[in-house]
Amino acid sequence: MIELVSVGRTYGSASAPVTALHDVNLVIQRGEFVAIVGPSGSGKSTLLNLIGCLDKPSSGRLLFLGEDTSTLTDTRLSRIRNRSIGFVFQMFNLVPELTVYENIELPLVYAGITRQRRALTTKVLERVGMAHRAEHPASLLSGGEQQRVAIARALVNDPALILADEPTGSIDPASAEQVMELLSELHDQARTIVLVTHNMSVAAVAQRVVRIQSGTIMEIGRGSSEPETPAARTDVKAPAMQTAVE
Amino acid sequence: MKFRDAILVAYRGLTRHWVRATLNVIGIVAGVASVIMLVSVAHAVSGTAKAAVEGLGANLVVVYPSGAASSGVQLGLGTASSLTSNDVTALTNTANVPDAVQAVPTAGLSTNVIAGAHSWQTDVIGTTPGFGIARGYTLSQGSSFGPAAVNAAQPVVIIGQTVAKEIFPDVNPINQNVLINQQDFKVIGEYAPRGYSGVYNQDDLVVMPISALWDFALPSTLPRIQQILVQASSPNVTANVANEVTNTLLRAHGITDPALADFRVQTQQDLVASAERLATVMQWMLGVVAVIALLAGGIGIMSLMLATVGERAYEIGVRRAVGASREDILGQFLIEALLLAVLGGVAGIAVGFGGATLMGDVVTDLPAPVVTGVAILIAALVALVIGVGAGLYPAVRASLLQPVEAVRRQ
Repeated sequence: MIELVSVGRTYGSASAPVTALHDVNLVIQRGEFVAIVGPSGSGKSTLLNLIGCLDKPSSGRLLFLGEDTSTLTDTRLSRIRNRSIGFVFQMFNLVPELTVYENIELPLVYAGITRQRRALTTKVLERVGMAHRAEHPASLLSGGEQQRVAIARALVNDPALILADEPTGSIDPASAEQVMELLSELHDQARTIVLVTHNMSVAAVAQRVVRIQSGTIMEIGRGSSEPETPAARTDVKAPAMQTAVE
Repeated sequence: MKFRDAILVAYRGLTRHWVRATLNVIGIVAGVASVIMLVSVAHAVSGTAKAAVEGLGANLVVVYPSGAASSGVQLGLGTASSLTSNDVTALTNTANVPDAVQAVPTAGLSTNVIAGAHSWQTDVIGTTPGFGIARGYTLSQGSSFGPAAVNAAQPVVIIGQTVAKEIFPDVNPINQNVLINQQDFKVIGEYAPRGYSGVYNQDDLVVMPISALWDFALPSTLPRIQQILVQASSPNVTANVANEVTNTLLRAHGITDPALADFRVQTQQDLVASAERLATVMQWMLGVVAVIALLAGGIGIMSLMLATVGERAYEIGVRRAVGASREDILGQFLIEALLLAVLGGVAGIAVGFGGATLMGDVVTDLPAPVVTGVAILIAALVALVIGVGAGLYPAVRASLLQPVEAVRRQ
């Protein structure tokens, strides 16, 4: 589904470039659940932004469903983000002035979907258990609630790929568990999930763990490959962490 | 993205940031209202200036003692005493001025006219029987005075409607007496109402034989003849009449160099042209003032919008992440600007209309402002231009924000 070939990303001016990523090679298959782990500043969020078509590589090629993103127009990239990708960010990134409902329907608005909009929005609202908060301003929700709304928004256009950047980084443990359960369920429904985290126990839920350091991939290890019940997964956190670190 | 949704998104953008939206609207309202008021005043003033001189009569040529009319439209009474009765006689002679019908001398002063307990300050004008025809006055009742009354300096007056109302509120003025400068005058006629010519109330006057004015009312410091109105046989020949009058008076005064003439001759067309020049200058001046006001307002709105983009970078990033294209963001901010412009424009037109009306009521020295369709059209255009103009650059800035950059700025 996604193929990175010798991808590099530098920021700043030509005279003083800051290398965030260099020579990254990675293939993510359809239906995979991949965790990208690494210390802060290692370039994992940069990698996720590239995969999510929020950013373009400075060098190398990134193929999204066979298309080289560096050759695509802004409109085409926007369309890919809109139809094929759902984002879940650490800070939720809801529009605070809009209500829960209005936030969730945003992708449908930009997709030009009008007739099914209410039905689709209501469906995902119920799925994340936030239907009772539909008309609340997003800014008044707790962190855990906001993240559930963000997941609903990521789901509403039924994207093939879910990108999650530290989705549990700013919420309480109970909410974090709910969020991870939701992500696992989505994976079970044949969606591709790419998760960025520095938390090994979170990464353990993934099938595959990509470790990144100083802007390059150090190793690709195995997470808990078998799909399990959410309850079982929380039990295997510790061994999974070891696997990832090894 | 559907157009209806684009409107909805922009509408939500405004209502959820209503303080900022309100400030923007106030800016546009101020700009639009001031344009309407300025244009209305300019329109009224120029109309007034033209009407004032047109009210004199289209076929009049006016002779002033030199220096009397220094600025063209100044209709002040003469200050030098270079005009004499002999001049009037010379100008009445068709051999000298073949295109003229008559020549009417006038002199006057502003003074109190008293009847019983009522007193009213008005223009008291001494002239000859031809005055009414020259200036277009007709009698509503009573009679005028004839040449005999002028010869005999009879103390009789014809009064205008305003004077009649002020000093004879309850009685018919005909055959009543009025007191001017301690002298009794008998009211023999009353002019039919003429209304205003610009700001000049044409009904606020008292007319008497010029000899009576000289004998009973005119201070010795004022010239005996302040104007000679020469009536041309038609408006088309006023230029000829002006030449004939000039030549006649130069000859009569023994002056060979026209530059040294001790009188001035002006046609009504000259005055209209002067008035129009003045009005044009006035309109330009007000136009420039309006443009400056708008620029200030526009820059204020633009900086507000720019600050908005900065503050909303996060929101823009989120929208971009979930699939908004550059055009969607550009559209959102432009439609927001357009909605503000429409709202501000409509409110501004209403405020401008009200303001212009109020201005006419409060500042009575000013002619009542006339709100024309053109003024409203200009104002609407102005609202659109400042709204969209000030919104365009910030909107482009917003659309060029990289989605990653925008999301980072939380």
